Amino acid sequence: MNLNEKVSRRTFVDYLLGGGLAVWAVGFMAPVISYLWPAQRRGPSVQTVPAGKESDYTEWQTKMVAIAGHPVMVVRTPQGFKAFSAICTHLGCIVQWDAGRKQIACPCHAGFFDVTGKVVSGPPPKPLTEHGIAIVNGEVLVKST
Amino acid sequence: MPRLSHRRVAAIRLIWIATALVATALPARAGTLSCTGCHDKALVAQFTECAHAQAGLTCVDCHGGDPKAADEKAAHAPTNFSRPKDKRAIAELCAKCHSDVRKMNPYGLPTDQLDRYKTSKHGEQLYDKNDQKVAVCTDCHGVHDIQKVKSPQSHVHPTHVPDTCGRCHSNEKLMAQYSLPADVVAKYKTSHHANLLYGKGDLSAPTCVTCHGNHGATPPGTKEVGQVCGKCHGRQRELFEKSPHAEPAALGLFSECVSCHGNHAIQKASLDLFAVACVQCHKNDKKQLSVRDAVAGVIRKAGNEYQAAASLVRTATVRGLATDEEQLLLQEAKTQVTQLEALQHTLTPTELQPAAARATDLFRFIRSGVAELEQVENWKRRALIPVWLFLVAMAGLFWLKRKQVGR
Repeated sequence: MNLNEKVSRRTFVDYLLGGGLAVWAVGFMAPVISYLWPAQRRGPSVQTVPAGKESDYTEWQTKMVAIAGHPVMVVRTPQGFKAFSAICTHLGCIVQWDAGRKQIACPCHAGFFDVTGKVVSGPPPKPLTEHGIAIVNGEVLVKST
Repeated sequence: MPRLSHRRVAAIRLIWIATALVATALPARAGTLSCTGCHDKALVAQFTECAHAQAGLTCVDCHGGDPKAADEKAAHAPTNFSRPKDKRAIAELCAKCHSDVRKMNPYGLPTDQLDRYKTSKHGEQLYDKNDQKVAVCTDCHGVHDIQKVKSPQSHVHPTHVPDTCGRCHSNEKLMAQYSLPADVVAKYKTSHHANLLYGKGDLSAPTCVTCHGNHGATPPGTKEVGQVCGKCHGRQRELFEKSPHAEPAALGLFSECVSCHGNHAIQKASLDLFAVACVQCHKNDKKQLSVRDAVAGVIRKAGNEYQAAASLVRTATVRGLATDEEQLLLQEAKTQVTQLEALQHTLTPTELQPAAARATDLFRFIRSGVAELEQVENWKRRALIPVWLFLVAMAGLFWLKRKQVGR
């Protein structure tokens, strides 16, 4: 293009409009392309949350993981893995593992739960909510419900 | 084989049917149902619904008598028919089965109820003083309408226990004879415990029997009912034992839980309790009241900070910010704040400090976390300005183009 050539106002507006439409088309098409592109990541995080490798756990070892802002306790029992909401059903304190008793204990009012989540003693009115567990390729996955 | 004629086949069938009818009718006559011939139908209907009838027991198992007898006199002949002559006889009659391990084993029921009953106030009155006004098995469990304890229809189901006890303990005339108050059940119904039971349907909430015992006396290791609270509120009891109040309580100078919290009309503990409970004993004791103020101050500060942090996280979540981490921190902060409420039973401000300090740290992390999320959100909002400018410019260009085309 000859730089000395004078660009008319009409052509200048056409350039701007064309460029603007191109930017708009890219913005419009980007989510469509990303939808059509093969998935690179795991699905929604609410389905399962990784809680480490199966081999990382010894018998009666526990680990805390977070699911959607809520703590969940994973414990390996001789019968297999178990996962419970770590929020006490009494006043909502975060429960802890009592290795001596092999029970889940609430530090606030000494409520105790067994490894099936049932209340053993203390004021909690309900058992702990149990979460599903899946072992996939040696990885412990905690289900959100 | 010779073929039978139609008449003979019909006759054989008739004989079979008649035999079957007689066979089914006989046990009924020999069992409970023969009593129904004379006794109240409603009473019999009530009994057939009760736990004993469902376990296969009949009238005869408790009352004796001869259901095969044709007339009333023979059916109630004194040789085998008996009606318990007093309350002691009722207890002994129930114990005939309920103290028999072989009979109770299939139902998983304990067999020490009578022995335990004898150690209770009711039992002592009956066995030591032959007081026929005290409660015995049937006064609480019912007579012909006994249900399993877990059945919501049972008189001793948790939701019915206060009213069952209240049948006697709300009777002013009766209670006056024992110098006992008759307003305990009415008071209980205004309590936090009753609110849990009736309002929230929490069947583990304490009723009369949780503290006072049912068949037996108060649980082992308790000198007075106030100490029973530790059965459920174990952590508070443990911390109370470390407090300066433990010694005077052990000496019997005051009732360890009841003095501050009350008993039947117990309310959910709040900071307001500090204002009314402590002055009962320490009215003009500035030194002790300053300890109270220090302890209450730590709890109040942490509680207010928790409310502020919870509100901050809630607002951020509603705005669509990803507050997962802050929610976790808030949960941990709640644990610390709730622990403070238990730790105050030590009445030692230094015992509260670690949890209070941890809570303060957590609140700081929450505030800075939310501030960071808000900063990113604000940056994103500012980034929208060029997009809006672009859209406005495009609209202007389309307008210009339309003008040019129109010329």
